[in-house]
Parts: sequence; C-alpha cells; structure tokens
Amino acid sequence: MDKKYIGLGCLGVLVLAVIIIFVWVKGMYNGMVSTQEEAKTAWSNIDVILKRNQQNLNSLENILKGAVQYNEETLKEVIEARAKATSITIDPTNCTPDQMKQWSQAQGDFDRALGRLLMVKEAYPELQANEHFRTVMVELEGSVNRLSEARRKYNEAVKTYNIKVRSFPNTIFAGMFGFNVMFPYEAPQGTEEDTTDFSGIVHE
Amino acid sequence: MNWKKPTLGCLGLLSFVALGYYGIKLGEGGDFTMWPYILPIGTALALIVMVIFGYLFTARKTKDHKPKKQNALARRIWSYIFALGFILINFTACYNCGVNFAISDQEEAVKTSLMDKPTWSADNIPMPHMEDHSLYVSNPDDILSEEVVDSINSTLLTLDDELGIESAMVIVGHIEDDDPIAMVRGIYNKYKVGRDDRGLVIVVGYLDHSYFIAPGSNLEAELTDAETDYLAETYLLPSMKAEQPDSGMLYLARGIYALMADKEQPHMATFQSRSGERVDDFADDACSAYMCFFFVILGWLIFTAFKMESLGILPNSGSYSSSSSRGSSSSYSSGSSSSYSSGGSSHSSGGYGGGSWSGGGSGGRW
Repeated sequence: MDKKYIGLGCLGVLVLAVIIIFVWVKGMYNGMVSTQEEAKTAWSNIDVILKRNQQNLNSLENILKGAVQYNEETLKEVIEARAKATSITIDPTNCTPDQMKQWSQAQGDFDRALGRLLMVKEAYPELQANEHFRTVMVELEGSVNRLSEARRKYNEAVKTYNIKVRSFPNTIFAGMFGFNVMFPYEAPQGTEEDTTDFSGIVHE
Repeated sequence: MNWKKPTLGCLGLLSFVALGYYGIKLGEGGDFTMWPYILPIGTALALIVMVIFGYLFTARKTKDHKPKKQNALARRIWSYIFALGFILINFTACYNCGVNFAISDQEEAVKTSLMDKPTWSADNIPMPHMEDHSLYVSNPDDILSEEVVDSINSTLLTLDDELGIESAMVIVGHIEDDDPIAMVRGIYNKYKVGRDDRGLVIVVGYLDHSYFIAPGSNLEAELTDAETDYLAETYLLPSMKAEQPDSGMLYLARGIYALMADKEQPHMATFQSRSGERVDDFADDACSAYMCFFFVILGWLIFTAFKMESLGILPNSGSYSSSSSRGSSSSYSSGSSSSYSSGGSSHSSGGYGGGSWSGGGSGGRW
C-alpha cells in the first residue's frame, strides 16, 4: 500500500516537473520569438523607407530634367545606390557577418550619394521657388532622418534579442530551436565624415 | 562786438540739445505700449494747431497796426512758432529714439543673460506636462514671456483636446551638442510623447539658431515633412530672424492648430514682445513710422521756408532752407494684449501618453 502511494507521489512530482519545465521553455521560446519578430519588423522598416525614396527620386528626376544646369550624374548615383541597397536581400535572422557587412556598405553608399544630392540643390537656384521641388527635397531630407532612426531602432531590437538568446539558460535552447544571433547595422568606414548634418541646412 | 546774439544762439542750441537728451532719457524709461504712429501723427497735429493758432493770433494782434508794424509783429510771432515747432519735433523724435534704445537694451540684456545659461538635453530639460497636463511649453531660459507661454499652452491644450495631438514645445538658449534631432529623439524616448503615437515635439535652440519639428509615428501622414517645413518657413523662421521668439513660437503653435483643424491659417500681423505686450509688425511699422516723421519734418521745413520768405525773413532765392534734424526712429508699440481664450478642462495630473517617433519631421537653421 505504501509503495503505491510513494509511486503515485513520484509520478505526481514528475508530472509537475514536466509541466513546470514546459511552461518555462514555452515562455523562453515565446520571448525569443517575440524579440526576434521585433528585430525583423525593424529590419523591414528600413527597407520600406528605402523603397519609399524611389518615388521622390523619380519626381526629382522629372523636375531636374527641366533645369538648365541639370547634371544627371549626381541623381543617377543616388538612384543606382538606392537600387543596390534594396537589391541586397538578406535574412537578418540567418546571415553571416560578411553578408551584413555587404548590406551595411550598400546602405552607407546610398547615404553618401543622397547627402551629396541634397547639397546640390544650391546649384539649381531657379528651382528654389518651385513648390514641388521644395516638397521633394524636404521629403528626401526627412527620409535621411527616418533611415537613421529606423537603423537605430533595428540595432536596439537586435541588442535586446541577442541578450535574450545568449543569456543562460536561454542559450541552451536557442540553438536547439534555431535562434541564431543577429548582426546589427554598422555604419561603414568613412560614412561619418561624409554624412550630411541636416541640422545645419540653413534656410535663407 | 555784440555778444548778445551769439551768446543767445549758443544757449539756444545747448537748450535744444539738452531737451533732446532729456527726451531720450524720458523715452528710455517710457511705456512701450504706444501705437507706433502716435508720435509722428501727434507731432504733425500739434504743428497744424500751432500754424492755425499762428494765423489767428497774428491776424488779431496786427489788425490795428500799420503795415510795417504788422510785418514786424508777424515775423516775431512766426519766429516763435517756428522755434516751438522745431523744439517739439526735436523732443518727440528723441523720445522715440529713447524708447528704441530701451528696447534694444532689453534685447541685449536677454541675449547676454542667455549666454550664461546651461546647455539643455532631454535628460535635464524640465517638462511641465509631467506635473500638469495643461502645460506643454518648456521655457527654462525664459526666452518667451509668461503671457506668450500661457497663450501657447492654451493653443496646444485645444490641439490635444480637439484633435488628440499631445505635444511638447521646447525653447532653450543652447542645445547639448547643438543637435536638436538628438534632443527630439531623447524626449520621445524618455517621455513617450503622444497617445497612440500622435505626439508632436518641437525643439528650438534660440541662440544656436536651430530647430526641429517632429511629429510622432502615427501623425506623420497628417503632418507631413513638407507641411512642417512650410509652417517653419512661414511662422517660425521670419520671427526668429527678426529676433522675435515670442511671435515665432506663438504663431507656429497657432499655425499647427489651424492646419490640423483645417482652419484658416493665421496671419503674421502681430508680434508678441518679450514684455508680453502685443506690438505691430516691427519691420513694416518701424519703417512707416520713420517715414511719418520724415514727412512731418519735411513738411515743417517747407512751410517754414515759404512763410519766412513771405515775411521777408528769407530772401526770395527759390531754394529751401535746410536744417539739421535728429533722425527719427520708431518704437515697438503694443495694443491690448490678446490670446486665445484659455479653454479646456483643468488637468491635475501629468505625464505623456506613451508615444514614439520614427524620424519624421523637418528642421534646420536660420
């Protein structure tokens, strides 16, 4: 009789332990999924902003073609840089450091080209009074801030995810469930010097 | 040699200068609430009255005398009137100058006091909204007058109650690292301005000459970058360039409300001076008041020349006599102060609504 109760007790403890472990692992797994999804969303937002720029660049091209001093080189450079930046499609949850570096480099090239374009607007004085031109330039300037903010939020989301994935005991199960470390965006070398400080844009 | 006339002449000139100096001193301690044209128009009216009085008095005094004596009497009377006229113009013009100097000194004092102020960031900027939900303006360096701050708070409260746009308007002397974007980001991250991400943060570094207007993530579609740029170009920048921060911030707030509520945009006809009084547009009215004084002086000179010529004081040379006169200047003036009626319910508790920013908005420098 006693042996029967002991057996039942052990079974109960075992079941309880299994339930506790299940709840714990479920919470851990869901937490990793949640932070990973936030990082992926932040990543997508960068892409959305880049794609949004295309419409503004097309409008700008149409406006500038009518300008006397139109120099298509600068605008072409931006369009090509944007196309390259959006063509490099990587999965941030499953990529190598080299792939991320390549993507970051493309982002940096786009930033530099866009910065040069925004400074070139002084070369088209006759367009300064053109409302459409002004609107497009303001939107492009705004997109620089949005990109910067989107990348910053992506890096924060990646940091939160990586902390969760690499912390003990999460790290034991992370590999088991396929949660790999993500790589943050790093501005490529030389971007800081070329990055345009749009807070310095002087309104005459 | 007869020293009487030269001595009297010197004494008269000294008195003229002394009166002008007295007028300046009086103006410096004067009231800035006058309508700008009151001095030139008042002076012109006083001169007209003097001329009419002169004709009537001369006619009355000389009617019983012989022509030669009439002429001598008339010349004496009119000489006094001309002198009085120039004294009056001298005094009112110098008074105007004094008022102008006082306002310039006030501007300089504010600027100088601002130079010693600390640099502000999102970490140390006081946010009155955290204590009281009806306060949206942070003005730690007292760049804006109290009355203007109250008026802006009233406008932003209306914006919050009617349109659900929770805002934070910050104006300081210096921003840390001269980076308004970083300050905007910091404010959004720390205070989470905006319910349902419909926040609006405006940061102005008055001495840095920088600004940024940042709508929240869900407000960007309604208040686009182009619209924030338009509002800044229309209301903020002209006033900041004219060193009228009261006017700039007040009309920016009103412009935002008008745009979001689909109402008629306010016209930049009135400014708010740092003393909190309403003044007319400085650039236009200063110029107009100067022109008024110029025409008054010119008119008096022409009349004096013609009259002196007709009385035989001046030979009939066909040229006008010239006299030096002090340059006139205009002053700030004000009417009754006005503001939007402070409506809205009373808010006792503080705190923002958990909003975020995704990088939208526009900014720059002036």
